[in-house]
Amino acid sequence: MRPLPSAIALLTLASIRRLLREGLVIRSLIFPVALTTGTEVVTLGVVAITVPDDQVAVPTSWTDDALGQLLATHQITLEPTSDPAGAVFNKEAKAGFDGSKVYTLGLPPELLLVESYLRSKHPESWQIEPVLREHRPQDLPGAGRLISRLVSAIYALYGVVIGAGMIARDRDDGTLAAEFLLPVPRFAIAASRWIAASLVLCGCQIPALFLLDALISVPDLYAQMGHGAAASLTSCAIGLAAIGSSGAKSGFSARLAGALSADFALYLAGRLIPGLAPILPVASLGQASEPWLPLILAALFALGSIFQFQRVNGR
Amino acid sequence: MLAVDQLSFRVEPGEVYGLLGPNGAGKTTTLRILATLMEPDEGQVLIAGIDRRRDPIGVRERLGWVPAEAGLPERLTPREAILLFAAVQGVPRPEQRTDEMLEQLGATPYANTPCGSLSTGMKRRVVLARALIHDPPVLLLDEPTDGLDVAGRRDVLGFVSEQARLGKTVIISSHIMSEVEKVAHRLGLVAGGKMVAEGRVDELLTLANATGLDEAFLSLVDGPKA
Amino acid sequence: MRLRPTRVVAVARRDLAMETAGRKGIFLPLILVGLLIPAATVSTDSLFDFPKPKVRLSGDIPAAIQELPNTEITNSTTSHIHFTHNENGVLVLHARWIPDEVRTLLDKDAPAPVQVIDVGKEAQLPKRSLLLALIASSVLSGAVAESLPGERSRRTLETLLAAAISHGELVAGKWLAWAGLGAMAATVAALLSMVLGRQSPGPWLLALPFVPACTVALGMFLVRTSNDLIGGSAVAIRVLPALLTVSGVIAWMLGGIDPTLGALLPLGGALLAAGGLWEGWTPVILSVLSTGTTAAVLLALTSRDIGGFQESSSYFPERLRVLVGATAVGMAIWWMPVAGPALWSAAGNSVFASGLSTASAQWAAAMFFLIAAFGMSAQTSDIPKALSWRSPTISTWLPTLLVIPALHHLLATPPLWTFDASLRLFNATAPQLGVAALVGVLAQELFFRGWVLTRAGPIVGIVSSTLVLFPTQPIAGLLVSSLLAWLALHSRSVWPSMFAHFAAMFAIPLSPLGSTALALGGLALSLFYHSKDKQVSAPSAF
Repeated sequence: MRPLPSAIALLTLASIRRLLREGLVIRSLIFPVALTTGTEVVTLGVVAITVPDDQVAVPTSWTDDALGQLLATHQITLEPTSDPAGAVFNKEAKAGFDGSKVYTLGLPPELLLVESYLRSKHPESWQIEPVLREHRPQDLPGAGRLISRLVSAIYALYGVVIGAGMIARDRDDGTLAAEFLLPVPRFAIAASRWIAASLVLCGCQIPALFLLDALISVPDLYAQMGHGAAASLTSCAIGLAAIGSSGAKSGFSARLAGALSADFALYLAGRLIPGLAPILPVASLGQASEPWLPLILAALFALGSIFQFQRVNGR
Repeated sequence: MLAVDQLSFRVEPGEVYGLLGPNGAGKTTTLRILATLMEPDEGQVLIAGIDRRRDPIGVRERLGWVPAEAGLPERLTPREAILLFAAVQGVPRPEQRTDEMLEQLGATPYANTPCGSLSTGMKRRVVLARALIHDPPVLLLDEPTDGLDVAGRRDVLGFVSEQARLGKTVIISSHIMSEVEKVAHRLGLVAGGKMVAEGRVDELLTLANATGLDEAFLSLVDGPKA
Repeated sequence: MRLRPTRVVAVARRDLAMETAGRKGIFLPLILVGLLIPAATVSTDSLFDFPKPKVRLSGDIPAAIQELPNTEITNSTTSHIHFTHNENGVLVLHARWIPDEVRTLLDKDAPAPVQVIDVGKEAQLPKRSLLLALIASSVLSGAVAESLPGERSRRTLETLLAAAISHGELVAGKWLAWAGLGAMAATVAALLSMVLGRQSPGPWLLALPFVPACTVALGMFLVRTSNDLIGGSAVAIRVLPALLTVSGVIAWMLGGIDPTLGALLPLGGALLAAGGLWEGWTPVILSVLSTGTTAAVLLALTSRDIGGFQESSSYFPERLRVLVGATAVGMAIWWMPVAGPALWSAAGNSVFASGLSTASAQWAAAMFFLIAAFGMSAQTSDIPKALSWRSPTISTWLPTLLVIPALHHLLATPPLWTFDASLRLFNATAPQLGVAALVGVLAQELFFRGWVLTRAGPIVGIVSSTLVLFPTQPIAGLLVSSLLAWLALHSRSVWPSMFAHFAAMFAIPLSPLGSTALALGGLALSLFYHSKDKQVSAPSAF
């Protein structure tokens, strides 16, 4: 009889092979990446088209040249117009002013330049020294964190589908029955499937997060990878547990919906009880903390579902 | 892939036509084309005088389809499954008609048991009842005796004969020659997607100079034994 | 196309009965109710809480400012605002950005000499009805998968296709069942939230049912020819929520320019209109028209294809498909990390672009090339063979060593090397070379010289590699690709080209000794494998 670890390794390789053979699985796993990068390209494209020119709108009566010289050092030009507020509203200029009023859309650095200039005319007021060159990625609102969490959540959902689908399909096409005849305990069959699904899932999730980091900067990248992996491992285990003793032809979608709801419940638990969020897999997506506890819990979830599989299918 | 090639036949009302041939001969493809489930690349199909290309719904109104696999919703009972199908087919007074069909096929005792719990024979009766719910003049049966025991096969074949006596046109496919020759008025022997020979049993036996249909088939497909 | 209402309703009733029959039938209604009721009734405003970034402060921070919520005291190198006083004792803010609350607080005691006015409209947040629309639509993805691929795999769809109804009636009936359920559930939940005073009535109510209606139509379209429940479920679960979200985000962005533009985007427009994002009837009506029309078109396309008559066949020869596919995939993999920062710059944030991680970009590109190579070769029966992963003959190593200097010369031509280009574009330093780059070379070779070359021959292999890796220097790129392809073809192995590529890029720049050591190492490796087995040399990992 083959030693157990080598039997699990061989069964895992066979499962990975079958997973990769299903073009649908690969397409599913690449999809979130294509989706996020596609969305980013569209978003940036729209912004690139709509972004105002490097101009500050001033009234046509404006005669003070000192501001023009100050802005010119930052490659910003003055644009005389009859309606500075309108020019900013119509995205023709990044900022504008009219007497003591400064008009902006949001809080661009140009605002600080104009505001600091105007305040310098009133030395009794508090003053501004704009620090424009030190704008850094981490100053952007948590877009990277939000999107990386979304992508990891999508992978977690696939984890449920793949975890459940592998068992269901193998039961329907007879592969599972053939493997039940092998001289290995039944838990090895479940374990190999969980490992295969997890490896394939994480093998796509990690490069996806690397790509996101290269495109929008993901804060705490390695923590996000850990929490993402914990969510995927847990979801595969939940999918496996949900389908345990059934095939695809009887009530698959109901069991799948149940498994997806369990995944959602984990997420909800983290939202409702904030103390759980950093430690509970799936709920911990987006957390900056070390991912070890969620990973350990994910392994426990997996152990639970693997032994549940053995319980319902016999030794 | 060429599944059916230059195949042509005509079946009259009140006639049972057996489409015989080995697995992969093209029988199911032929029946699926007749049932409007597949589109032929070329050729013409008329069902009860209606061209399937011009009026597929008209064709479907006139035929009952009994597929090889039961295709019954496992969580519904036979009564529910047939009743819902009757509504889709536009059958008037569907409840009454459903009960009639279940009675006629002897399926009333298990009419309220979920289809998933029925035996193959029971499912076959339910499928027959479903196929006849709108009283079609043409009945297409794909391997209807597959997986049935002796009594089940006898019942189904008896039912087929009965339908022909009622004036329906019946086309039945099978790879078991001896079975269909009992009920079919005429047979079409199909191999490799082509019609090898067609006629009454005695005509085919004479043509092949054989004593049994199996022997006749092999002789017509492979040529007489040396 | 015939559409008889009685038949459509009959099909819908049948679908609903099949899903809700038996004990398991309780699942879907239970999930719908379990998710929609809390979403409709829970009394919180934080359904869409986007956390504000904390303001990092340093220096002589005034006491009042320190008490502001959402602030954090830090050191001067990382702070947003560093407070000092000038020689006249006037407060000076060394600032990268000043939130309104800081400005208002500082101006409190004296009349402000400068008044800052944001002319942009207040960023509107969608109301909770958006969440109701999302839930009602997403929960139905499983039912859509059951309705078409599920029925097809259980052979029950066949009897419907052979029934006396048109395919249009069949599709419309199935759509009615699930779109109707989703629309009804969302509307009832919305009414409940209005009764409880959680949301006030408005034109958004009109757009609400159109979101599940179009989502179901889209789901049916996506799985229209699938005959496998698991595959169908994966498609529906994968694509539907994602498309809903993405179209919503895009509609939001377009709506920022003009609500009419956002509303016209199918699905996303209706989603945001249902979320009450835009004032007035016009955006709602436009969104309903656009989303409704899209749903109708999708249903028409689904009913055209639902018979599954046409076998999928390609009009293009295999080599052309590999060329186009490998070039498109390769371009996306290789150039996205450069295109991303470039787009950021175009969008006006070049400072942000320069801070993006080049190392992550290298890792991502390398890993996706590996996924592409393994994913494609896994479709064949012999992965090592599909990737040319086998020991070359000893005689191959002499040409390999000869090719390296030529490759080095060509690869040194700027900007042949993509990441060299990106490094210079965005002023990043280059400590990232190393493991990521090594994996990158390995991955490129496995993809272009392994899979593409083996699958589609030298011309496709060379052309796609040139187009993807060296579009700005086609002549030099063609030479590099040809040399590497020649090595791979000559040796019938991907190892020599992999080795030559790596050596030319890294070893020679490092030192001539390094390249010699690498060459000898390669030779020794080859001898080792050669002595073990001439034919079978695939490592057990494959």
